[in-house]
Amino acid sequence: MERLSVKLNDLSDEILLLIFKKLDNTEVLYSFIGVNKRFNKLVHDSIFTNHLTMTRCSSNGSFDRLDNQILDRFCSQILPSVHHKIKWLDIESSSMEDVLLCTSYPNLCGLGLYNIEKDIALRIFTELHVKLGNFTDCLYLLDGRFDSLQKLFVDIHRILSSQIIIDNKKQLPNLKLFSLYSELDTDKYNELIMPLLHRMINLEELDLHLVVYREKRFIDGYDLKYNIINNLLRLNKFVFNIRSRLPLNDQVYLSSNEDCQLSFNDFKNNKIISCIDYFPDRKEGQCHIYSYPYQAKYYEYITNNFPDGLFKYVREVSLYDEHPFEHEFFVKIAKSFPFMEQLTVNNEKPQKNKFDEQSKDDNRHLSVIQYPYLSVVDLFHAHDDYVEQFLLDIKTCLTTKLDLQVYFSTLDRVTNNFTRDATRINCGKLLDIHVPRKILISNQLKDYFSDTKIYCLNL
Amino acid sequence: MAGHKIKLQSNDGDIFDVEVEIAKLSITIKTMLEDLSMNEEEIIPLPNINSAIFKKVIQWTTHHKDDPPLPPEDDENREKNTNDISSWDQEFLKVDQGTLFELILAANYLDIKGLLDVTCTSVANMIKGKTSEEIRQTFNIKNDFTPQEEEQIKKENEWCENK
Repeated sequence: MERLSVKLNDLSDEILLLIFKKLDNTEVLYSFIGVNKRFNKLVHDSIFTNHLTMTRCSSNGSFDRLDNQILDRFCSQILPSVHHKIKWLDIESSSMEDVLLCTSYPNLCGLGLYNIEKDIALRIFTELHVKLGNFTDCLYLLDGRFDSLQKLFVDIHRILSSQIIIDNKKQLPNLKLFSLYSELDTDKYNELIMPLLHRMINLEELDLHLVVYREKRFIDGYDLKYNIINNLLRLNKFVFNIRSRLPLNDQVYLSSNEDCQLSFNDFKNNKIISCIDYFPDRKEGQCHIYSYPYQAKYYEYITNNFPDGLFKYVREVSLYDEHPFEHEFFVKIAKSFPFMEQLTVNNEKPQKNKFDEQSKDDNRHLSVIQYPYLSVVDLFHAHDDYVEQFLLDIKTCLTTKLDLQVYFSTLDRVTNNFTRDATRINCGKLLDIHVPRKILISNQLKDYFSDTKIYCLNL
Repeated sequence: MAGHKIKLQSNDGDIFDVEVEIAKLSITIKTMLEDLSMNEEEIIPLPNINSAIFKKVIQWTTHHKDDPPLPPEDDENREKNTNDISSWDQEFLKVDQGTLFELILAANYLDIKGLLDVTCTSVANMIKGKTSEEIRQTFNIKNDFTPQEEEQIKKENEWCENK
């Protein structure tokens, strides 16, 4: 008996997407663009057009040219219809010209080129964005093999000296823009970074994002002028974000923030922010200097001296101080970092002006803080008061699920063994909690965290 | 307990005695049994599945009852190798298109990830390498673009063809 048969076109969008996910984006577009209105709309979704791999992967792992018939259709019809949605293209060298010239790609931010001849690469590469494991790799890149480079953006995991000796003296006259980004501390500022910069004799734009460990003085405006600006005579744009750290002992020069700010008096075209802190318990000082507006994704080691401002690119923030962070400080942080997604609080000192549910009536002025994008808060190295800060609903309003990284014992104390009403609402917003195996997961605990995943730790 | 059975009823009235452990490969049925505390004598209705398709589902779940659970799919690293269908599943999926799509709908309704995965893979393999015209023919899809709309699309791309 022939019953009414289900067809591909009868399946829901959700199921069609499951099927399409089994295919490469190029296969989906090749087969479904122009089939009918519904499929045409469905496959124009950005999940199928963001990243296109215009190569054929052969069985031996090499990248081959697509069949001519497929390539022709892409160049004549498909790419022009999705060109504005493409963010990443992988192309094989023999089809490079056809693909890149058939339309414009206004939103392209990544290009993978396969099987490309070295001579062609050298001719066309004038700009390079690269992530490197160490400083030696950066010296290799600048040993003459990419002489035509005019713009170089490097993100180096860690800047350390190496056993391998590579020339760090040869001049780099073609380089006009250099951006150096490294998140981890280095003590090789003078030994490695300065000699590299001095090779860039015609440099016009410089962007430095560094954390530097020094022995005697912070890096301030005088240092930048003496070591960098006076040596790079064509430099007309200098953007930086440098945090220097210093051990506190008799040998160091302890400058004030006013001293530091004065050192930037000669700097033109730039607003420079400086912030100096001394941490007696740690026997360490830090000086953070940066061009404002701040461009980086991270802002680390913020203290009570934080000078305000709006940091719209920052997604990850860490706080550290040897003085307590009061509620008003968190108000300031939430305001300055409206797009903050991750926050780490390192502070062992209890808050002085604690407000809790008992004193609620006496402190009606207390403003509830909202963090609209915050998804992770690390409080492993924070006093219980900061756990309270995020769990008391009179202090913090959590709008989305929060990954709160905190010891179970702390959570137990702050919530009065999971009975405290004032922390109940925010605990209901926690993504998960991790309970040590020796602790019995009681019904009281389950009720208190009714919407939270409870994991048992193997400890 | 092995051998313990429950009764499941397809939308055309047939009742199937199915081992609990096999039935529980369906997250939908597992949830019904656990959350709604249904007892073994109660007949669980499956209003979206006919008996022919449900027979196939039972055949598949019986064969795959000891399979390890599938890892969660990561969108960034989604598996594209669509040729990975075991020979047993290839034989099982030698069915007409209508049955294949009904199996997908059943797997989706019953929330059986493995069956949904393999049926979707099978359809993806049918799609691979086909032009839009071949897709229309293979899957009996009507081209609902008007000639004017087709002309408009052609015009938008004309400068590329003439380059």
